[in-house]
Amino acid sequence: MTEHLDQAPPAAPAERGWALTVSGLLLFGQALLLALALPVLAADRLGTESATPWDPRVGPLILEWHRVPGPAIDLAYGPARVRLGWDALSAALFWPLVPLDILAGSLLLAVRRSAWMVAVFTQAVVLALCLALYVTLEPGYVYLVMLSGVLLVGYLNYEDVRIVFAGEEEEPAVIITGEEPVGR
Amino acid sequence: MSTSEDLALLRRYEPVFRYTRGEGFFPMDVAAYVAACSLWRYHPSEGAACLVPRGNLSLEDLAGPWRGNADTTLFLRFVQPLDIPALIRSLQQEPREARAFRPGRGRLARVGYTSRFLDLLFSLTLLARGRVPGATSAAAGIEYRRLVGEPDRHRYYGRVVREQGWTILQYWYFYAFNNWRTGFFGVNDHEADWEMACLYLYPGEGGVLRPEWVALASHDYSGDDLRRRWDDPDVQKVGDHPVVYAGAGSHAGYYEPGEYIMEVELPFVSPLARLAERARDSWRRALGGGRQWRPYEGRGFSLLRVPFVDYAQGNGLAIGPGQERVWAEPVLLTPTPDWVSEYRGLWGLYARDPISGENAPGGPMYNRDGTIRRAWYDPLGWAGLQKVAAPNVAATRVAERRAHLAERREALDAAIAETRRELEGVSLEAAAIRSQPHLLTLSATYRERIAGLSAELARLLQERAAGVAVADALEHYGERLESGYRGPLRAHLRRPLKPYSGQQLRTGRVVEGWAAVSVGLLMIGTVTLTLVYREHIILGLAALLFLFALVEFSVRGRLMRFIDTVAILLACACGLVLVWEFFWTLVTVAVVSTGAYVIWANVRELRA
Repeated sequence: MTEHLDQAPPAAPAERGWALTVSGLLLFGQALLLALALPVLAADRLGTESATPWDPRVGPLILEWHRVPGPAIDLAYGPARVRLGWDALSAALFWPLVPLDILAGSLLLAVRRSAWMVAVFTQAVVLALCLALYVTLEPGYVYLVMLSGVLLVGYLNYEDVRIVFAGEEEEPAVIITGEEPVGR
Repeated sequence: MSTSEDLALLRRYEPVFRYTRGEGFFPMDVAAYVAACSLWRYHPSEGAACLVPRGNLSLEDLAGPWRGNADTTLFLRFVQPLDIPALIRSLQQEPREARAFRPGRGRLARVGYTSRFLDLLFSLTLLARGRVPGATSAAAGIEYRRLVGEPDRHRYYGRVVREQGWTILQYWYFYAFNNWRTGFFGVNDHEADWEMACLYLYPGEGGVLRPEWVALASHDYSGDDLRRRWDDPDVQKVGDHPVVYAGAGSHAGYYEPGEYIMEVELPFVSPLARLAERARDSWRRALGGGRQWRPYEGRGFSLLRVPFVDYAQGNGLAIGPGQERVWAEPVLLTPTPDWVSEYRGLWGLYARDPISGENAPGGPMYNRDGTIRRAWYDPLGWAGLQKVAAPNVAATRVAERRAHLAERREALDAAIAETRRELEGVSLEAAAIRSQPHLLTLSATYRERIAGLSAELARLLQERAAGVAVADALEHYGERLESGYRGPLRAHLRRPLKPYSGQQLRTGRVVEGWAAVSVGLLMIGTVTLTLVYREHIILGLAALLFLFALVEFSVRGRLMRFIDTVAILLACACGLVLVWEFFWTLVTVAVVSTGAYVIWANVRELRA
């Protein structure tokens, strides 16, 4: 191999491997999770075993915004009433990331060079937000988001994925150790 | 061969040396140097004592009765450091070309914070450990110029060794001073410097010696990476004279002009560096499936080493045939003169530096500790040539190996036939006793023997098959060698020294400026935080480090690498949180998943 040092290394394959496909699908899955976390929480607390929030027989879903003692939303849906505090409302913080996730997933599946950058940036924000929420409000849904973020960072750094979006490698340096050579 | 023939051979291939503009020391006559030195002995309890004062020492005196013991160190002393007025005068009188050096992009701009911080520590260790005083370099420059006069007389010391079919020409060069640190922002300064270039010749048609390999002494490099084949385009030549680009101040030899990054590993961070490398390798193995992780290799530098640049620009003085200066008549080191073989001391100041970078080197024959240099006693092994047959004997060696393989194959055939017979016999005996209850114990012994013989037979067959394949390949290779093929040009190189390319050096002024001030700013910022924001110091420090890292990666245009690193760190933290919160759930999921997988795999096997 070193016989051809002067030649450029072979170009990275541009086809989509299984790891890339999994990463793309995971991004879509995460987008779904982030988008639905708050509605699912609300539906769960309202007790939707008898009816869904969209059931026209029950009537409209009523939202009331409260600022005191802390930010909260009161939901009324038929006979069911529930107050959603910060722990649940924080799920809305992830909503701006949903389009980014969808964009990154689409670009990744289309093997576009910018996909990796968008995906990694989104995951960094998602995970930072998760950690911040974990140490402050500790909402239950955050663990699922964390899991998706950890899996995605792993897949995005998997060699088969990195190799598609890789840059150039630099020359290694020489290490001077304690041994005495000629010329020290 | 006679002395004159050896000298003629040395002169025919003597290298051309090209130096960097601003280089202050060039190869010189050791006799003049020694005459200007005093001889000293150092003992840990007695200190340094002068044995022969300056002016009374000659080259022949070095072979005198200067035997030390394990505790004492013999050393020469070339100059005394200048006092401040003399230093100012010397700077004013310094030749213009000595101030003509222009460094390339700052070395600190090429590395990260850890290395910059270690660089600071490295500089501080110079205060604690022994070092050559700062003004010694200037004094050595004055003394060197006084000794050599104008024009300089540049001499080398030649040695001709004949070994294993090779004729080895060693060119030893002596410099009065290595001012890499004070002159060129390098690792060390020391009095005296021995460098070497080596040519390996073989008898070609008509017994005429032809060069095949060149090896240049360069820092810690040794083995295969040191040498290049004579027909390698990297080996520049002026006629039959190879060109050597000498590092500014360090005088290390390079094949190509340019700037070479050298890394120094500080002894006290070595374990950490190993740990960091292992962690990085594990991360790569985990995600790369054990394959070489090339695209994510990133910078070749280690996080915990201090980078230095060795400037071998080749834009200064050139010495050698056809150049502005030529070599004086060389001195032959065969047979070995007494001043080489008898003097085991240092050739300059013993600075008592435990890392050794600032202590003067030993002579051409000896290391600093008095042991013999490998380049001297094993010039082939030093350049990794002990395993390489000279081209004139390669075809013969191939024929010898083929004969050896044929012999081995015959021996294997006999052994295979014998083992087969033995195995068949033992198997028949085992079959015969299998249904005998009173021979049950013996039956177990037979099973072991059958297993052992089967394994032995498999090994013999495997060796025979490999031998046949090697013999076939050897036959083909021998034919190629006989038709003039000399083997792959660079297959021996694993980590060859290459200068930093223009693209790699394309760092802007902003990066250089930031590299110069960042560590200092970080230290000031930390102190300020401690003083004014003590109650949230950890949060403040984290924010400060994040900010500095963000600026660093941004000015280098590597923001994505930074975001990826941050994402990985955050993923690790989140992973720990998940394990902490759901340990038993994760264990349960892992066990259930494994069980399900085992069931699936077994059922699949049943259905296959």
